Amino acid sequence: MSTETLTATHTHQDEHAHHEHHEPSFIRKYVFSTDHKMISKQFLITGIIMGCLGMLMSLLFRIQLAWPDESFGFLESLLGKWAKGGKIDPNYYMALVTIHGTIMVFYVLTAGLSGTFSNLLIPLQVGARDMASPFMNMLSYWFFFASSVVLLSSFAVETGPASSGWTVYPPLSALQKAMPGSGLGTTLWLVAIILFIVSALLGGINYIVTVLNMRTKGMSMNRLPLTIWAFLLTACLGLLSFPVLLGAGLFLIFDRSFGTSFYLSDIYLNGIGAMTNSGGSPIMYQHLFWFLGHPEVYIILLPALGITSEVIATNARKPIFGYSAMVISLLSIAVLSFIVWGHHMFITGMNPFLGTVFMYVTLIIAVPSAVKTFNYLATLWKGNIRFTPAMMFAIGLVSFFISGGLTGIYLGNAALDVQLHDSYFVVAHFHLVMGSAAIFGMFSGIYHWFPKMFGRMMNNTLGSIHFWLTFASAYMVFFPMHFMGLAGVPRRYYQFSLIPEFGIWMNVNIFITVSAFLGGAAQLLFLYNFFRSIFKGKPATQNPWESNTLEWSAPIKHLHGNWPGDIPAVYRGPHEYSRPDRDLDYFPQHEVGNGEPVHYEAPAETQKTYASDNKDSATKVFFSSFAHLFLLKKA
Amino acid sequence: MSSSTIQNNTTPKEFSPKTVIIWLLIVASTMLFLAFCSAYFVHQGDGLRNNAWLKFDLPFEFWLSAGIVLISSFFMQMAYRAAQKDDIYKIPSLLTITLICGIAFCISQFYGWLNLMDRGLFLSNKEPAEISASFVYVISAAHFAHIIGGLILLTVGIARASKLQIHKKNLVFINICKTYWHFLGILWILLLLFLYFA
Repeated sequence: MSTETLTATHTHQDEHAHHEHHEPSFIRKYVFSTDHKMISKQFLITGIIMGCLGMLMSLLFRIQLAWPDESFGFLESLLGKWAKGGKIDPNYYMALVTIHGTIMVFYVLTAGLSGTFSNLLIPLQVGARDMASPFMNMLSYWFFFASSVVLLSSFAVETGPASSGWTVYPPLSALQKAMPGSGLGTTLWLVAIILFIVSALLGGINYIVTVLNMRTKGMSMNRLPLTIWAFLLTACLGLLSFPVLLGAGLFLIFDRSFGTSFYLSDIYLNGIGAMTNSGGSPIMYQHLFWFLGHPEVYIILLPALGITSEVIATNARKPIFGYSAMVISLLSIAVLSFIVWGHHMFITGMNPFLGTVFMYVTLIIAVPSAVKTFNYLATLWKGNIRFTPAMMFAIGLVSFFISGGLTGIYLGNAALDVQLHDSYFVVAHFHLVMGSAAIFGMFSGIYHWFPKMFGRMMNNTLGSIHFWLTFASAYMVFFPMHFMGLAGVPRRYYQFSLIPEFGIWMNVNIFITVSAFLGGAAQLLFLYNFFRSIFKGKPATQNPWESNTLEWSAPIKHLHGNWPGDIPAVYRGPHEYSRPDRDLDYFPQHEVGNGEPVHYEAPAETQKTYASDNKDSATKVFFSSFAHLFLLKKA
Repeated sequence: MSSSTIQNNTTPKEFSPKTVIIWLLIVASTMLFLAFCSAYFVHQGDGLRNNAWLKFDLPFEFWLSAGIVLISSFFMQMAYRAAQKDDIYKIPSLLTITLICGIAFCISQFYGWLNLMDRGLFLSNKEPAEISASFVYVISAAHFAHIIGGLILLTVGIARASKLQIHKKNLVFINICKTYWHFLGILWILLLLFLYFA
């Protein structure tokens, strides 16, 4: 039996192959690495750290919500002047809410999720040696890291971090003296977000180019795993929407520091007097912000849906139901996400006709979302299901996607939204459909691709306990909030005990807080399992989940360039499970008919070079160039 | 196993990854300017309704900038053509002329802002109607920042061309320079027309 050698021109990829045996220094390998696999680990670890901090903040403000009139000595020990007498300061409470939202939306569920898995899986699943620009990829991580440091440094500021909500609406964010957090804290927030946008753009551009330009032989678009489709569309969403947030942020910086009035007009500050700003409109900020803000929901959700598609197909041992429908649904969601931002602004006094348009296009998103949900269920139906932790988290995502998605239909309706806006109903909705669903997708991905990332297995029993505790606590925290919201309980309030009408919800708040602590404890279990498994987990086998996709054909030990020899070619789609003509219930993408892998060779393109023949210095060439230009000399 | 034939579902190779990267950066930049322009429209609509929108003549220097950018694009294109024809010794000088035009563009922009200030139109507005001037400053400054990026790219291009690394078989970098520089030129002309007619 012979292995066929095919020729193809893969010059970009083979540039990396030459470096396979070159051992980089410690700094180049672990710190300023350009290897996509290492960068994915960097994104993941940073994302986990940010996630822990974000969750800790939520537990702190949940204590305030559950026991608003009590004092806790440990809070003063932990927060110092911001919790004098053991009670969180109202401004600091707002800061915690703000930074919790910012961290979870941008740093965990955007960079932590998309950054980790796009980096890990795009080159490995499309069959590329690395990203199109490994250097840009490295920059992407370090901009993200710098952004994280700048954001967290705002906790060291005397006036505290930004505290006008994660959306940092003006005028609170535009006037430096509006509230304590509006000063340096908001400046740092803006710097952090601009760094984050640069990171997201560098990463996103790389993801798109790698998928479009660097797929291996045979990897046509209709053979791409759904993870890659999701990452590709996510990157497109980021590419088109983050620059708009950058524009919004720049206007805000100009208003804060250069005396412009893009968002400000006719403001009177208590204790200071009338501001000179005139002619601006804070509503314009909302338009610009939500033009990013709504696609951001799908920037968070689509990667989780892609991961879920892959995990469900693998662990149900069935082809994904309706591959084309899944791709079309992803595309539809991505396109629609750009024309629905107004549903976040129904109460800003927009023209009712415009509101109606936004309402209808919002409700249309339910169609592709439902297609995805039914396809997940149809894939599970009569599957030979393996209840791995990854699979359980993927099924958990489907559950949250349904329960959170249904309340989205309520909120998309302008007439209902006017009542429910800024209430706990909204908090419940987006924490289920965006927060919990995406976090579950992220956990699913971690459990599934941990062997690929670290060459070891995570503990399944601990993983299962982690799932059940997290699943139960997420519903226990967010489900009751729907009823609070329907009763008119507003979000972002500091002390409900001051409002007698909301007294009946005090016990519910205690229940939610205790549930949140249960969820927090479950994450300690995950952290133990994760970090212990990195060092002491059972060694992974080549293809532990018997999966079809290309990443499992790469060696367990990471190589720069991914494959030791030639890149495997691809012969079929990613979901050929349980084929009746096969003994094995899976059929890897890179195997030919009888299971023999075929490789192709990609010779480096020979290019004419002048540099090696050139005897003249660059300076001489530079000056003689002008002589050539003005025809004094012939080439 | 006998030799098998692989279905030729090849990856598109017409564009190098670096060329696609620059196009995607252009898309991102375009979105930024679209955000600025749509914000301009929103403010203008509000301003006109409230009789608080100042119409003023754009500085002459901005129009001069448009001329300079057109000339620079011409030389950029000549540099690219020289590379295509393997006329490699002309490339550094043509790129240098493009760079000089770019610097001249920056200087004319600077004088344009001085012109605005001489007329009492500043970045910060005292009257609601003067917010139109704030927009002109921000939009032109954002374009200026892009030009600085272009000048850095051109400088690297000149260095590479001087080392004879740009030639007929290696057009990727000069193609990137050309694409980005033409984009900046077209963008400035479109912005200028937008500010003039809007």
